[in-house]
Amino acid sequence: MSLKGRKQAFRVTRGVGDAAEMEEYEIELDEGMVVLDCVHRIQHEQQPDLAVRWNCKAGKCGSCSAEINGRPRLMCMTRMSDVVAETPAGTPIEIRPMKAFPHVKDLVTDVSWNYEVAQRIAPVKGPEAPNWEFNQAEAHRVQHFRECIECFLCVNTCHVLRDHARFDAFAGPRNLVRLAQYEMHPLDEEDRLPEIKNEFGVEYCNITRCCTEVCPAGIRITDDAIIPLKERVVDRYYDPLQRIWRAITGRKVRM
Amino acid sequence: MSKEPYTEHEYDVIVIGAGGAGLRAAIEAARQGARTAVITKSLLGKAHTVMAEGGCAASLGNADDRDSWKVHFHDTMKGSKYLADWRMAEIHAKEAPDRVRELEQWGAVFDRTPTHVINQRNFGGHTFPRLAHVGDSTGLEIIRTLQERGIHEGIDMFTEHTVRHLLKEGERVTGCVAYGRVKGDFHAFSAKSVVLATGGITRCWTVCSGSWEYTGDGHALALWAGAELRDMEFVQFHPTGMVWPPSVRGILVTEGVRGEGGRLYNSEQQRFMFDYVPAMFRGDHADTIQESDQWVAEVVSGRQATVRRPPELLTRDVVAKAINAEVKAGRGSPHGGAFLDISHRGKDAILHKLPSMYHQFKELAGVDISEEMMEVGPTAHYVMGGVRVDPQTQETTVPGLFACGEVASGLHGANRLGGNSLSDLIVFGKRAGEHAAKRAKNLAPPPIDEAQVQAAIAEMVEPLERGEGENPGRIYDEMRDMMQAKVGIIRTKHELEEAVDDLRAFKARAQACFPGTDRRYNSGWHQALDLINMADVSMAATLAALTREESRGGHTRDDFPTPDDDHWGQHLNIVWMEEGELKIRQERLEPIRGDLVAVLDEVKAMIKARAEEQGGAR
Amino acid sequence: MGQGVRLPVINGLGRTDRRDGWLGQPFVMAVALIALMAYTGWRLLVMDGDIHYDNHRVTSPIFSPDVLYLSGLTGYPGWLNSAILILWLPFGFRGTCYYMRRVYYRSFFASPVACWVDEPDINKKIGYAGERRLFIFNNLHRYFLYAAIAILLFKWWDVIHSLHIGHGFILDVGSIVLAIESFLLTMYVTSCHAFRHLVGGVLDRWDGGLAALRGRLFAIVSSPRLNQSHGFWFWTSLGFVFIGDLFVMAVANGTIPEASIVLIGGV
Repeated sequence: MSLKGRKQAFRVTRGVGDAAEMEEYEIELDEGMVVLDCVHRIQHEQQPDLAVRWNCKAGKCGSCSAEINGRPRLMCMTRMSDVVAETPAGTPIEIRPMKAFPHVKDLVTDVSWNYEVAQRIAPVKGPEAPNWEFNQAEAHRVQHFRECIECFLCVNTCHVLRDHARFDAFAGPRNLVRLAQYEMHPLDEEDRLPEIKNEFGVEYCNITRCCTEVCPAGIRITDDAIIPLKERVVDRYYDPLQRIWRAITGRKVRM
Repeated sequence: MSKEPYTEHEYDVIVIGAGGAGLRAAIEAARQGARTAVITKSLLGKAHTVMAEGGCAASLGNADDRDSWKVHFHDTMKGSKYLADWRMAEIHAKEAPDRVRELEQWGAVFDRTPTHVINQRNFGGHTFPRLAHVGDSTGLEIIRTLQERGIHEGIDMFTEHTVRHLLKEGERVTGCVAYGRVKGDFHAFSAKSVVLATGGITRCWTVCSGSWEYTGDGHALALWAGAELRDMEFVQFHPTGMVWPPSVRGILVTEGVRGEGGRLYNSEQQRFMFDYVPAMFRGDHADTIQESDQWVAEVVSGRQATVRRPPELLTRDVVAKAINAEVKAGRGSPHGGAFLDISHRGKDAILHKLPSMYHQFKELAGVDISEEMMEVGPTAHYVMGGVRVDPQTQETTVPGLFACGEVASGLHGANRLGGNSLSDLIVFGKRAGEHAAKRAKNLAPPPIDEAQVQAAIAEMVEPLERGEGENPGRIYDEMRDMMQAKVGIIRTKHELEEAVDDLRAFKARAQACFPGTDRRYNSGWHQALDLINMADVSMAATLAALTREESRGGHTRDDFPTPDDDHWGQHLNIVWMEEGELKIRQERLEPIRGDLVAVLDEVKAMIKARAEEQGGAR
Repeated sequence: MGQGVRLPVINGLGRTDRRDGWLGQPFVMAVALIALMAYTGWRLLVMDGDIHYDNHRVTSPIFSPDVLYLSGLTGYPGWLNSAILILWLPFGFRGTCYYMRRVYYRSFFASPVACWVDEPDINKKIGYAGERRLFIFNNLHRYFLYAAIAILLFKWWDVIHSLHIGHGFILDVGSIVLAIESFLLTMYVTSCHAFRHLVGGVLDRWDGGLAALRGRLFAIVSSPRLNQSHGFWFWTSLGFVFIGDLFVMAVANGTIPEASIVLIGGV
């Protein structure tokens, strides 16, 4: 479907916080546009001070997260042909900022919480000697997590944060992926399980898999990161057989 | 003039930019005990480094044990058309392997060889497989590694802050002034050393692979502070950017596609690269399709190549110009590019080795690259030119000001080899951080000169107070279109002269635009300020291009289509600013040190012998 | 967290800016689960006859393993049947399944009903504890897995038993139904997240000897066919338990004549 020349209406969040309102704009579309192109067109033709955060425009930096027709997505990877098709005829396309984070202005939110949590996570600690050796299968599992572009769409989607605002007790999907990536690193020697259980609250996740559904990098956040972390927490805290085994072998672990 | 409030900060080392080079510099400075801050226009980990796809060049010798720093040094010098600073090329080739190993210890998880060490892939201009990589998202891996290391080094991060002015005291740099993009507030920093790590300038062209940040901030700050730039005429047009649909035009298609066996075709289904092997590379690339197919079969199965590599893996300048020539000759693809085909590798290999290319084409162009050909064309990708630095310390010609990464210059000469940018970041990022911290050790904290700060702030606020004027976005679009048309991949005297006039006009328009009055996250205001750097930096590139009357590497003159080895092969263009006006002069290259000449000869002999052996066998 | 207010997330059950049919999936799943549970209850408590045919050659999947018959016990009260004794094991396995948890939190607890759809006020009043308080029993999943593996062995024994090997070979539709059911159950069990953790996920290194083998097992279990399709195997294996039960009931009560379903051999 060619959209060239089609006039399209948008409703875009304008303003700050409680005072923000949906403002309507109309622009002419071109072929092959993505939503971010449309926002830029609004900026360049009508509203220069419209705030939008973006960088690479190729789905690699994760800056342009927003909620398009109520569905959180990267604006740069959302094709207009798809959005036009899903929007009820005659109604404007709606673009809102991510709702789980403090609002800054227009389409921009304050995602600094994610960085604050990341800072509390112990980094990789491996052998002192360089030229580490591990195989591709071991690398591959971790590389999957490292494809994360930190768009924070998963955090915005997670109901623990979005609906219940448990920013105090839960690290959010992105940082659980980071924890998984460290914990499963073949040569990492650090133990983060007590923090994963307590400080980072992996048990708050009730595996409804919305984070996985929304991930633009295709990371199976719930199945590959969070559930394996939960299983490791079960190993240490909830499995009586393992407790007995540890008692017999005299293996000490941090609790 | 009313006084604006601002916040004062004091550090030993300020790093401007949080890409690979900036983070590496900051980590090193902090490790040397310097109180360090990073100021970045974006959020942490969003810098353009994430767009680097193919890999990081370092002669680890894991994939082919014949590789060594000598061969890497030779390849870099040859790729640069011998304009690179040979001291930097030497340091780079020698130190890159250690920097890569260090990244691994900080958590980077590179692809592995069957013997469990870091795997390396082939790339244009590299004699041996040399690029440590993670699928096709190596840049993301490197920036994430540095970011995750950096936050544990006690570095203060000022995210979404833009530096607009370097504070000076006499000749030396003593800090900087920045505005917060979110709140529109102002900050003055006292710093004993300032490291520029702001990346490149490619946003000055319409078809580019760069993000909005690539507006040449560091180049401009250096010019304004009295530092010198070199090699500004050399802009790398990456041969393979997307060309369709229009909104994604310019987005990078990694060279890794060709490293993994990708073939370039014109509309007549010819592998045209066989016809474009320049004299300098004649004899060391495959002559026939069979030979090139055999090479691909060998290297993708992890064996050492016994034949010569496909001509698709010539250096970027050569491939970009070849595609350009095919399009001009009427043999281009429907949307004005060439066809790039990787489908013969099969879906599994593509999904494993080039996953983000697969998704990029699938999602943005509706093309399944495991079945269909890609349409690709040149895109402004990298500026070899930049701030002139000391090869050992990365200090610029202004005391206290350092530069590293793309904003610095010297390593890449007239053309950069793919994969050498990521290694450039970590090698010279470390050096810049180290020497910036060393310099800071012996200095007292410089005072902040309020008059300079207020003058800088007044300049920043001015666009908001104009009341009326053009939308800066429009000027931005038009200026980039002009640069694309007149200072693009093929240049002529006439157009370059026009561009000089046009840029003056654009700068005047930029100084009269009106982005609204809001200070909070006002994208238009930010753009209005960026336009000024872009105009100055574009002018530097244009002047240098106008002066260099020859074709070499990333600079091609239609009116001087061949290299002029006698004069221009021995000279560099140096650009600087005096009282708001750009000046240019030429400087003669320093002859390569004797032992390095011997290294070059040794490697050349080795390559020649190998090519004869491989060519003779088929 | 930095300053600034959050944009009002519109509050109340089902409030959302989504414009697609988000309610469909959780609704259908809720209906399906309620229907299957009602049927199970009816079968256990009301209509617990016709659970096998041909003298226990083929037994209904709901009542298998038929521990009462196998143990030879007599004199137990009339309301008791094997399903009442053993069904809590597969029920526990499915109830604590990482896929099932997604379904019931969404469909029955609206926590959330669908992504980006707000939860009912009562959820917020109670206060969200995830799987820390009430749902902490889900951590027993691995023990139910061990039981499920044991039951799985019985299921395959049922298939072999139904062939009457050694007493003259019989292959009828019943054997095929049981075989399909056992196959689906095998896929469901081997695609289980706890199983995946057990075989190899628990290790950080898969280098050399047994660890390398476990790495390969982990890769197999992680594949698109297994773990990535856990939900598919959940529903198909669940559905087939009931198809199997209906089939056995129909044959046992004569709705389907036994002779008509024999493919090879004789009754």
